[in-house]
Amino acid sequence: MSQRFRTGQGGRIDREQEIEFTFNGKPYTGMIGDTLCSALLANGVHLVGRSWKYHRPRGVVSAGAEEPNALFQLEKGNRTIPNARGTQVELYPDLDASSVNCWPNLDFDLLSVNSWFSRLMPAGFYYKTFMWPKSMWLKYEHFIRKASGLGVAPREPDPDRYEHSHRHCDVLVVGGGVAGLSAALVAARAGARVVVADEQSEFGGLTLASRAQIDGVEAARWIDDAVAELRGMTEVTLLPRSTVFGYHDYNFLTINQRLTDHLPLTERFGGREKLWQVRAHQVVLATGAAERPLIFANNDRPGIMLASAVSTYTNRYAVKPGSRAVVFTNNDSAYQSALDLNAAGVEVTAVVDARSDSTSEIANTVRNSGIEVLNGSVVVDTAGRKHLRSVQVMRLSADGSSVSGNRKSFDCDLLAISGGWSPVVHLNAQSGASPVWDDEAAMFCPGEPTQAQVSAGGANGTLDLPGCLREGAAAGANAANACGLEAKLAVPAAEQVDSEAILPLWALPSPYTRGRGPKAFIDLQNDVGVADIELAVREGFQSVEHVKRYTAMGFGTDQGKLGNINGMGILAQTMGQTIAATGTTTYRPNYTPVSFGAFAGQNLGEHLFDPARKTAMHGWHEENGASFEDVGQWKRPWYYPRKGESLDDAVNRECLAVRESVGILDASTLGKIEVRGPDAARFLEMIYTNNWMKLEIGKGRYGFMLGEDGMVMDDGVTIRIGEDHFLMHTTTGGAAGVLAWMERWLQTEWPEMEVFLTSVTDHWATAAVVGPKSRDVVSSVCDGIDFLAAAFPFMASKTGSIGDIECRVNRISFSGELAYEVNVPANYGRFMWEKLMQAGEPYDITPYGTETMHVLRAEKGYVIVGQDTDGSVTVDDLGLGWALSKTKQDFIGKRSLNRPDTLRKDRKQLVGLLTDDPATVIPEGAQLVNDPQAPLPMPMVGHVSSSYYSACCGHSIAMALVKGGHQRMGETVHAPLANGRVIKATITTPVFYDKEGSKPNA
Amino acid sequence: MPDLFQQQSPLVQIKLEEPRGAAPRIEEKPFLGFVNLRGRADNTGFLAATLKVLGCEPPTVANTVVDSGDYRIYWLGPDEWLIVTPAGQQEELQNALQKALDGVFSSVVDNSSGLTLIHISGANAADLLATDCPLDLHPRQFKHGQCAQTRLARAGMTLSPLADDSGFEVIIRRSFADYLLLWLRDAAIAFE
Amino acid sequence: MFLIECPWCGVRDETEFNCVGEAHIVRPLEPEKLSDEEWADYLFMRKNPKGMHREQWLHVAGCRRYFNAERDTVTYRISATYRIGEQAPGEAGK
Repeated sequence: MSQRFRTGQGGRIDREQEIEFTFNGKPYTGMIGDTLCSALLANGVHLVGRSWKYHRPRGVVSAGAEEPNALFQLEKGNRTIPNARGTQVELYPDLDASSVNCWPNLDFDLLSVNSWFSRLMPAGFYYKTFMWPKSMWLKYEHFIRKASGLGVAPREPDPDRYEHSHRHCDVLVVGGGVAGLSAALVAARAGARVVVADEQSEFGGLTLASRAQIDGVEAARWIDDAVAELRGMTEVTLLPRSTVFGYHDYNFLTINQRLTDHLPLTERFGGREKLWQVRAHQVVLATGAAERPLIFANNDRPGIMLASAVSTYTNRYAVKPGSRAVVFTNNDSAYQSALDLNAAGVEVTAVVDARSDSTSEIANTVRNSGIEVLNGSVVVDTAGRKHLRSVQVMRLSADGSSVSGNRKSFDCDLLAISGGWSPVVHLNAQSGASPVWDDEAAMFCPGEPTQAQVSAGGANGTLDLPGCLREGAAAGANAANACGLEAKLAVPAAEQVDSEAILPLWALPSPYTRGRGPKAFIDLQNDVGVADIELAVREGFQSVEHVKRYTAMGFGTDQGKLGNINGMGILAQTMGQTIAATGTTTYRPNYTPVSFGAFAGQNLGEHLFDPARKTAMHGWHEENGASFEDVGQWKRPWYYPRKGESLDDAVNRECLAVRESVGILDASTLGKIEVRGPDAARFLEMIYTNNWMKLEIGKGRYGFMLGEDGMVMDDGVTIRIGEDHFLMHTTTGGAAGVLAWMERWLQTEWPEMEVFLTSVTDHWATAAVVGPKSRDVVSSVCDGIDFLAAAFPFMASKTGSIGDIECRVNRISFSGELAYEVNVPANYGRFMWEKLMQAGEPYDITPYGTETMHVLRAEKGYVIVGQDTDGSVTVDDLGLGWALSKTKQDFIGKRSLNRPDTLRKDRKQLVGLLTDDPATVIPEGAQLVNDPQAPLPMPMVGHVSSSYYSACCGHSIAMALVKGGHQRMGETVHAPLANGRVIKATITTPVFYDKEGSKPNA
Repeated sequence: MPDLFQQQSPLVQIKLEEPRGAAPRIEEKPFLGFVNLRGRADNTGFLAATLKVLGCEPPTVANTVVDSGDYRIYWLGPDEWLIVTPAGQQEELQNALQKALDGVFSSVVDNSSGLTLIHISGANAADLLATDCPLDLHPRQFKHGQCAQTRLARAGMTLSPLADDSGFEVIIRRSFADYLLLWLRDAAIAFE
Repeated sequence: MFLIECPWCGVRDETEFNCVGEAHIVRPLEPEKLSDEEWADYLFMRKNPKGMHREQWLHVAGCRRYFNAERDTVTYRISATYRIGEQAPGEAGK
């Protein structure tokens, strides 16, 4: 059997299912139930990667989310995953893994020369070395990125689906260890809607690696029973493989569930991940505790592993993580690992305990089993290049400040270390609490919650099994009770094991001269050592947040889960202050990295990224070859190219057709708001700049809306349908904003006004029939309307019918031509459109899109709000002062028109531009200058807002906002372009066509 | 009455297929009448007039819906309701309301072509909507007789549970209908 | 992500709402009589406090009602929401 380090029995792996996988191209076997790391360890593979800066050989340190070293590139091509933590990757058949950050390969890494020069690459090295001269940074960066990169992002589109779901619950239990399961059981039995999320494939947490008993049965059996009971309850949702990665305001938590990553590539169907957005009344944080390493010289060799991870690999995965072990600890918990190793047949040479004495029952059990316990001793150095070969132990002085005596060397290939435990307070901290330092337990415990939340078990600093069960059950009961349910507290029973106090240790005393010895690493992924923290302090950094950024401690994909607490302890030690005063860095989402796909979900691609709003005639436009343009969220026909036509060809043809005969435009997207009530006219007087009281019924009027700052906000035609009844048109993009704006005035400022607003944008389909022949077309389709000019003048509105269908025809024009806008309920929109097309056949009626609409209106100098205005343009700036009432006492924005800034003579004003060369079209957005030879920075006098070629005029036309432009008619400006070309243009009126404006009145 | 055969539903370009697997059923109830009614709920004249036409007063309890004869009346706001009528009856209702409310501060607006109504039914109906609806759709929280205006994905909707928890009635805007159905159809893949 | 109690619809998700800025800014009755400074004060000057802030929200995806909220800009706690025209909770005794 190739899995030389697999124990003969036990563990939660399926020994019947041996599976093959590859690591760095080499084939291995493992079992279903393994993680990638447990399978590699079963094969005796410890060296899995190289460190980020010095490219030192690194091995598996942990068995969980805190893993800094065992990062892998999984699979190739479009399903490749960079930087996967092998401790959390479930093994599946034919898994293809390779290590990251080594070149040319893991065993022979050329960049490990960096290690020899490590003394020359201290904290802040990049800042100090490569940023000057500034011009060289880009050159350095190329090499640095190559040398220090981790995994490689996929370059091909992601083939997988990602799902989303919102979930509301009474109690969200984060973590399915024994504390979480106890909480969930009590709450669920009370009838609560419960969600339990755990990042592992199995519920049970660290207890899966325990040989203890709960309620008189093996812990693993109790866990199975608890999960089975929960699974049987309809209001319980169990989410395995689900990481709660964010804790936001108002108990809003985000969970990423991995649905298929544990399956062979060929068996992955359906969504890959599911993002749960959970609102919980109560949250139970049962996220457990994570073991801390101890910090000593050369503490980073493959074979040096957390003691709890050693137990997990031994008990849960049936793997011997070594053949000959030394245990190094400052607390009681690692003694269990010594026993676990012993039971699995691994020789344990010694337990090195920094405490001067250890007399607890478990310590004595270890001694009685024949393992030497060295009290008052510490590991001071290690040996072994690609794998640990030996450790050196010295006596620790009584005050813990120095080491003395002979170095005693122990041969071993496994060093199990335990520097104490850190509750996983990440979510508590993310939720707004500040973790609190507990001096006695030497750990940051959860801070006072600011949300409906409680921490239980390891997450609360409770490390013993009975305590975890007790706290979990109590948390579940309290949470259910807080939801108005009646919970019955039931605490599962387990044997109490006494333990002795921890001896907190940060940077261990060393036999080496300060700063001269081998590196002692705090952050293994980023190669931050004790000396780097000390250097940062010497250089004046004091805040933990600054030290973090200067040294890059905790910057890696593990976000400092393994090393940060030690780093804070060492910073406190170096600065001679308490850890409580030093504090923690900020815990932010995400707890572990989350794929972009999970956030995007299904909201991708042309149809689902953003709503595409469609008119009733959309199908016709598609069938007739329209190219579409996005206007806000609307899909509007842009132009209708005929075979072989370019955009310019089509637009020129469409423009001439409208000017010479008749065209038809889908105008359904304009916002339409019914304004009704006795005060409707009085309300419009305030909203618009012009007069509305005396508008006749059946007539429309064009109006500007200003913001209270006097700037143009929207425009459109509003029609008086009855004494107390108006129909307002807004711009396509402005509809929702205008409605909300008007509602705001009515609801908050003038509640006494009797006006109701109702949006009817979607109810009406609108076809604009435009051109000299438009009357002939519309009159042959619409019955019951007298279309004679005298009876139906410009700006009038009448109702009639098309067949049996009621229609409203408005004689308004945005093109300067004779034009009618025909409206029917949108269910009949396509019917109306086809009737008009049919009636227009004799006149070769031409459907046209927004591009032609833009050219036609620009030929007339009509502005488009949002294109020729940008929120800083007044009606006077547009040269349309006639639209401002001189008689009204007040309207929104009026007072601002007298502000000194609004009265400035050098404001940008709307003008027309004519280029010397009629064929040259100035790009929209071009900046304008008076003298293109002026020294840089060249004073800019304005910019081009609209610019087209006008087939009708036979030359290009442009609209521009030019400082003091109204007084500069006939003067010359220049548009210097990015490519060095300069276009010369003459300032004119913006009206280029039918200057007397007679055509719409025909 | 207008020629109903000339009508096209907002979903004319969407083919609604038989559900696959455990995916919910999605059906459109096309061409219903939708009449938007506004008035002040403390105006006794308004209440009396609407009672006369509708057979009941419009509901004043927020987020509730009442049935009265052929009409279903949704609360949309403290002074706004939506009356859903059988196909083709909107004009008659609109006229009747306008007549009854003559001289009363109110607004009656036909929005029949602006909206459409779909039914989403089956065991996973709530889960399908929960894909991207932030409302708690659990039957303990949201029952038949209640309604809510909320959002689905990036569009708005008016939602009401059908009787017997069999699913939901969803009213959506015409211009967003195409997007929402494409979106729902895509979301339903998770249940197939 | 807030949960906000619409005074009409009850507790809803933040994504159904828009915040439209500081509450209780009253439009001057006779703007023309205001000096430029007074008008600018109405137009531009906002409190932006650290701590309790009264602001106006719109239930845009719901009942389309504007209402006011008291929100702590440090803790993000919304201590109260109230309808337009109703007194702010802290103002009742004044």
